[in-house]
Amino acid sequence: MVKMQFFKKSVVGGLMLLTIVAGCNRSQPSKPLPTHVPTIVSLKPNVTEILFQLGLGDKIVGVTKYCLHPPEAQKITKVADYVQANLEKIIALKPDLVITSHENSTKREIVTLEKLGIRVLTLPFYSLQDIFDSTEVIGEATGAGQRATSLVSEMKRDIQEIQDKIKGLPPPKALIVLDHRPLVVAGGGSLFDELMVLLGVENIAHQSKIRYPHFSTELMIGRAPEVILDMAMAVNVNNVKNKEGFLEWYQSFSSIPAVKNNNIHFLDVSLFHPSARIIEGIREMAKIFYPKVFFSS
Amino acid sequence: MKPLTLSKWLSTIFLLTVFLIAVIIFSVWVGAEKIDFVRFFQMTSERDRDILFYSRLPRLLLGAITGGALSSAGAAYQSLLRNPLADPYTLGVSGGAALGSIFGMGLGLPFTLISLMAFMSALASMGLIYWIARLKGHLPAHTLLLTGAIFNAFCFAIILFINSVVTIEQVHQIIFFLIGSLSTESYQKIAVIGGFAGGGFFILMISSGRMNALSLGDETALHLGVDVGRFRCFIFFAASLMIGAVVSVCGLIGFVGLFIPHMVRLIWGADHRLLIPASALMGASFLTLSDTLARTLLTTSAYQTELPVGVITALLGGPFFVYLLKKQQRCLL
Repeated sequence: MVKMQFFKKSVVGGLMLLTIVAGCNRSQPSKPLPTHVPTIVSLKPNVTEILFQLGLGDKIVGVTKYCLHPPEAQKITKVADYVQANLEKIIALKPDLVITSHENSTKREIVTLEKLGIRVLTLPFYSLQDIFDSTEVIGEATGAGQRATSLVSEMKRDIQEIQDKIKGLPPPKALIVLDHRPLVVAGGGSLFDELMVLLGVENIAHQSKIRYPHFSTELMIGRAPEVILDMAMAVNVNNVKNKEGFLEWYQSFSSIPAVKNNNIHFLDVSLFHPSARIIEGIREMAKIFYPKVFFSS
Repeated sequence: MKPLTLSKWLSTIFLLTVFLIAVIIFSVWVGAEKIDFVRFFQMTSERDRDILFYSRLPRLLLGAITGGALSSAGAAYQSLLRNPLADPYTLGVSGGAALGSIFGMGLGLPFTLISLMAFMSALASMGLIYWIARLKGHLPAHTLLLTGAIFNAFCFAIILFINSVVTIEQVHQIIFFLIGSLSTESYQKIAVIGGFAGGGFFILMISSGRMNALSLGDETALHLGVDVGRFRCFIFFAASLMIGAVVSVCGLIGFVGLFIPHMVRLIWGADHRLLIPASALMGASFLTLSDTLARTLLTTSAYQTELPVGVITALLGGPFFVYLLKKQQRCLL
């Protein structure tokens, strides 16, 4: 017991010392706005994408294992995975700015980074408006404010263009599936639901208050979606055999119009990362829901 | 204790079978979507057919098989180890089976091989736990449970290790597996599980007379002509076969194997010739009902989400476990 307490004390002491030492290394521990373009660590794939879209790719010094877009991002030092961030690596990189999202599991690491005087931006990405706002915040923090503003207005214009093309068309009844066993779908309040509303699509799981509910297979059968958009992570869009395996799973529910009319589509879920890439995702979605309309990319 | 008569056996089994059938009919009838049975019997609605035969029925068959297997295996473990707190979950057998299946999932094996791995690891864990906890031919209750708990923790550590090295898709699969849930499976899969569970159950049934002898003590059983060592191995084999099969599909569903046999024992007595089949029927009814609750409680509300059945069984089973312990403590005073 005594030993344990001593151990705890020394750990706490060590951490405090570390904080002090790290603080000394900096002339101004938490400078609000650096004058030069800062070096950045991104703890989310979509943040990495936004940084590249703002032309700041060469300022990124650390990314996550899952930052696959654009391909250049894969060459950057990996400092985090889906679940945790490697604090030591991040500290060693001495970034001016660490950017992450509200939806993350590295809250403890972030507290430590802030204690060490590293500036951390934690941003929301739950809706399109969040994406616009957070892109602008990132722009401001990195001295790319103007580019961010024009990127956002470009996104808004593209969305408007897609919406104009589908105006007045009959809304299809659809379901977005994110996992099969258990059946996880996009419910009301999810970003996917927002996009469906935007495209005039009726989401059969819209009434669910949970963003990603475990949907009942009988509700899927009963509400008879005309289109099913499958974005389960286990689906490999480029592998025909893999896709056939999942199509087979749907075949036992042959009364569903989407199954009967072969109207099940697969998309890579990463197209919907909350960054400017989502425009491509929305366009792909529109192509699936309104196959007769021509969308230029 | 009153001796078991044929008429008591028949009437009890008949009663429980009727109850199970009633539960199944009720569960077919209840669900998130309303079904018009008049229209259904006219065979005009494809939608109703899909909901009944491809969504509800396979799921509740799987629930019934799983509940029956967990409960009868639990009854067998309790008798063999002469310990009221023994069940596949507390003994660590389920943990072992889970480790086997998750290892198989990590390797991306097909379903039959995963089931086989679950069975082998269930068997190996039972053997290991038995070997660790045995003291001069006895199995002290606390040592056994402690060993089970430690073994479970050990299995979970390895599962979490596997979880951190596999791809993110597999992480999802593993997490849902650990929560334990029934979902709609193909009839082929259910037939495979049913085969394994049925085989194990048959072995337990033909051994139930000798289990009675064993519950009187090893020595008495020996005098009654039971080869105790071999018989124990035989039963462990059968029970692990059942556990491995159901765990490989449904993941970890706790408490069913523990408290159903106790309930049956409290109501109908401890004769294994009745206890084993009655536990199976009762367990089947209980898990089917629990799953009906799990899939309907929040699906009709604004949530429209299903609960893992493990939530329901643990909520009902946890308090019962405490009650059981308290009752035992009072007996000791």
